[in-house]
Amino acid sequence: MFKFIFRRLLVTLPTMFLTISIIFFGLRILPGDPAVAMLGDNATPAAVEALREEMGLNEPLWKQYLAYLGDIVQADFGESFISGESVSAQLFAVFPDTLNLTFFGIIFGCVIGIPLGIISALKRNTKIDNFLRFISIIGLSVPPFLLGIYMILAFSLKMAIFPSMGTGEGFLNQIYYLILPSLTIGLILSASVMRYTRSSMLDEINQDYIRTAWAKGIPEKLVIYKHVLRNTLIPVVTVIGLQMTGLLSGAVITESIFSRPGLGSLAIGAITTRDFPVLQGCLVLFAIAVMVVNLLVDISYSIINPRIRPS
Amino acid sequence: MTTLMEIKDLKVGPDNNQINSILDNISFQVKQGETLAVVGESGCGKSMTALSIMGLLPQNIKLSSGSIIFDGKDLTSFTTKKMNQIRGKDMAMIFQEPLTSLNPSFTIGNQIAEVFKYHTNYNAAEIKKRSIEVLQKVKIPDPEEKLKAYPHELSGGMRQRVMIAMALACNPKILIADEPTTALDVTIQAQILDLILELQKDFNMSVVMITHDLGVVAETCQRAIVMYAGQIVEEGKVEDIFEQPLHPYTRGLMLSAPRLGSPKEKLHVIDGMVPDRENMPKGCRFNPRCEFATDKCFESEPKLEEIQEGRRVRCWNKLL
Repeated sequence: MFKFIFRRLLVTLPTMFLTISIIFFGLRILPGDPAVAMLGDNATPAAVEALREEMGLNEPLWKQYLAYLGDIVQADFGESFISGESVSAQLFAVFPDTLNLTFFGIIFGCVIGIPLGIISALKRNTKIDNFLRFISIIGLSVPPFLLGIYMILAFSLKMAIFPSMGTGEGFLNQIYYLILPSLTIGLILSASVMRYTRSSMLDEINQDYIRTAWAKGIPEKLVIYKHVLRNTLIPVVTVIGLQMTGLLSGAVITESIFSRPGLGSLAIGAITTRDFPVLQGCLVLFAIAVMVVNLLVDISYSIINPRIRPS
Repeated sequence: MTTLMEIKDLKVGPDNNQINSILDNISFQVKQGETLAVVGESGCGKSMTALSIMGLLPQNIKLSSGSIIFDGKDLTSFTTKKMNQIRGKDMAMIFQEPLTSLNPSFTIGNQIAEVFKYHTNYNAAEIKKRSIEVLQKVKIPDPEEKLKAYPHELSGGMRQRVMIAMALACNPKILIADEPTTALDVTIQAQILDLILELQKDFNMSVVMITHDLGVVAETCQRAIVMYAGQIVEEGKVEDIFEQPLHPYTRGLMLSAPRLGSPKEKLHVIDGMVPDRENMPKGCRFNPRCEFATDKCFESEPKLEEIQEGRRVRCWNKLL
């Protein structure tokens, strides 16, 4: 198992390198000058030039690139053009918030999506099934920002149950503040989780080995929740892993709607000010997060599915 | 021999229409300790018969009338819960596809243990001991190690042995074997058949052998039922049927089986196809393919009549 994880990590390295390079060059292609963004449109060309020099933007691109690579290897993303703070420090300050948001989003997505998918499959082609499928289509089509705004309208403004912004203090209070934004992400995720659970389960119910399980005379509950469900979840886990990238971008939007600190807010701020070091840091961290999640999906995959377990 | 199971006027069809049934008035008996063959082409209703006995019909197919008396009780009146007390314990089934009949996500040991867990009061240690015993009985080498194996780590023949072990775990009174050797290599086929027969003697159980392979019938069974298009067309002792088939369909089946000693001869072919349920021919269902068909055969359907004890045939022009 450890060998398997180690091998997977090695494979990630070239991907990582490519991603980091693409991020660097991609940002340089963006229109807009960070020095102008900082000084404002009315700044004199001399002042802009001086600032560019100071920020190292006048160096040849390859020199900037090498310096950037060298720094990243040491987990150093430089200092923010705007505030002058260390980017790493900023990232580490807000990363847990994004992580919490995504984590709770996934939990909500599974807790809502999987049981509804099971019900929908077991009651297929009944009114309940049709209703659930209809709801899931809405969930698939609603963009996160719209759902977020409706959630705030309903739960914060009308009912005043949950706060509409901020992170709260103390463990329980923080979770309380997390509920509404992570539910926004979770509800949207649950729609696809539900649909995959349903179709995967319908597939499983007709397998030969499920007939064998019935023929053994074991109780219905055991047939469904042991024999069917275990195999049903294999594709569902993959889907959740694939949705991770979507979830992270969902987190970016959700964070700005709920005015929460996080990688998303940080990145959006950095985009408007052309704060390259911060933006690079955010993107690299996003990339690492996606790769780590993919690794986790692979590992959990081999735990649920013995056929691909590395021996 | 006493009768263990009696199936009377079994009618099975899609739950939305009653006219074109998949099984049409199937009646037969299974005696204690015998091996009964159910023979016929694909789609003649052999497997459906087996699945209705086990209460495992697919969701959109329902039993519309008839009774299945097993051990004095009518199984058709049983709820799923009540059926579960019998399935896997008194009545067991093995399937055609050993490769897909075991759950890929659980170990062999886990899947065998389930049978004991729900049909006996054994504790964990006894279950393990008994599991090893049944694997030994079906001649699986290294049974203790194999308990920890996953299905994909075993060959097709081994998996079918595991299926048999699971089926026989609780000494069932009747074993329904639905084409148990069709998916296996010829050499493995013989081994599996021998194994089933050997265990049948050990346990004194009845076996219903569903097959399209007349070799298997001749080799293993005492009595046979021949099915065509959802009906029984002939029934009798295996040697009688082989010696003198009474129904033209049975005769066709016999002639189309390759035989040693006449290598140059071209095999007999029954022309045409099994009719589909939507377009059943009027009169005898076999009439479009029958070389002996007369006007009567196209007008009215023959009844399954008993010619002598234990010998039944459904034909206007019996080949006497």
